[in-house]
Amino acid sequence: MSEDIAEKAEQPLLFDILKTQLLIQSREVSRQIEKRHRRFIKWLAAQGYSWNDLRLQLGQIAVVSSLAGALFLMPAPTAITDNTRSPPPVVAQTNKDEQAIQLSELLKNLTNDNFSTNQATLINNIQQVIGIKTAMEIDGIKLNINFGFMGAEQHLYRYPGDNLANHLKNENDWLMYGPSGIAPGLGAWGYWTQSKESFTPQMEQQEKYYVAVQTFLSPNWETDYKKMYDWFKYRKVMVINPKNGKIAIAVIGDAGPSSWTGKVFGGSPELMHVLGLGEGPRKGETIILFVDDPDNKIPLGPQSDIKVLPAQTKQVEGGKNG
Amino acid sequence: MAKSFYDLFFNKEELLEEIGLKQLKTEEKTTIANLVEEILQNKILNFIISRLSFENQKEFALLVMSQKGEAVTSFLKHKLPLVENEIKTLVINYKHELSLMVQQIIEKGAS
Repeated sequence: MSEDIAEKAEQPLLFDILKTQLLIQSREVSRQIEKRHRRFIKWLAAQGYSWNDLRLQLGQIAVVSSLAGALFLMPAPTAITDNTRSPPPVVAQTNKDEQAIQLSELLKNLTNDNFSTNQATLINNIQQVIGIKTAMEIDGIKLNINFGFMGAEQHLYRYPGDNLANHLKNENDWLMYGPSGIAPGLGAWGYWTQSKESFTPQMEQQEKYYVAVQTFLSPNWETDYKKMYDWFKYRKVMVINPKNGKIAIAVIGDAGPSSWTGKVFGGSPELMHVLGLGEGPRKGETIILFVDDPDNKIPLGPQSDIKVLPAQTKQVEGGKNG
Repeated sequence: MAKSFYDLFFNKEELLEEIGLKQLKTEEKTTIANLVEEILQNKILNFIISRLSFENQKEFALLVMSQKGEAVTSFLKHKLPLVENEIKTLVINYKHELSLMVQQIIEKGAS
């Protein structure tokens, strides 16, 4: 702005008018905030805080300047294929029926308390019955939890200009997945791509079958969050509903939910439907395991169900990529 | 050296100079700088909150109120990976808006 012009003005006049206009602007900004964030401000008040408290407290947060430049800058998106290098899944040809019954029994009786003692059996049985190698830990990295409540998430913006209509291809999609809506903000990894033209069917599948996990609570997160951010991005997982045996392969597409929600995972609208959790309270207990798929051969989406049968029943359906 | 969160995006004194308000008296500068600072802080916070789901808004607020600096930056980095550049753009746009406002006042005063 030109100082020459500024010098021509009477300083008191400039100051008075500018001050008045800024006061008007300030009130207008406050009014917009109150209107737009009514629910959040109400929640803040219930916690004993105001919007101004939050604004001022944010200003008190210290940031190390040497990191400042790179504080929020994200590394370039990484390749979608997993970087694990373990051997491909091996399907056992023997004792499959027995394994299937065990798996059925295991799922039926699994609880948060007994999960850790049964996890090795679970992983072994899944590989034998489903033919997919899963793991609780890959590259020394694990989730904070593998068994717990999953809640319904919304669709995510996949590229700039994306909207809900782009996610829904027909009337059936509108009926089933339209009511879920689209999240107002981007997922933890931002857009999948920067334009509609560069949007691929693979990306479409990833948004369709994504989970939100509490990456920020992973025991590895604090050690190197930049590395963890990349590692978790679109990491392939198996999601199991132990109550009905429904299984899907998905990717980690968002971070959440918050600890106090009582839920530990989130699932995309399509994923919740596949798991039989798309109606009613739209939440339920699920198991999430990493999929060991270094060649990225296992497709996303539903797998054949495991029939969670009453005890003594032997018929179990299983199969790869069903 | 530690900076405050908003210092990453603007410095109120420098901002006044950038928009051509060097010539104001010290106390006038302070008044204008404080108003501009409050408006920009509100705009930045509004921008962040607008981009978060309600659940994430709550999580963000609790982290801020508990002064968990690292957790806040980690949270923003994770939830809003593009937020740094977007806030910078917001600040640049507001500076431009302020410059125009100052220019209009000066031109009207001079005419």
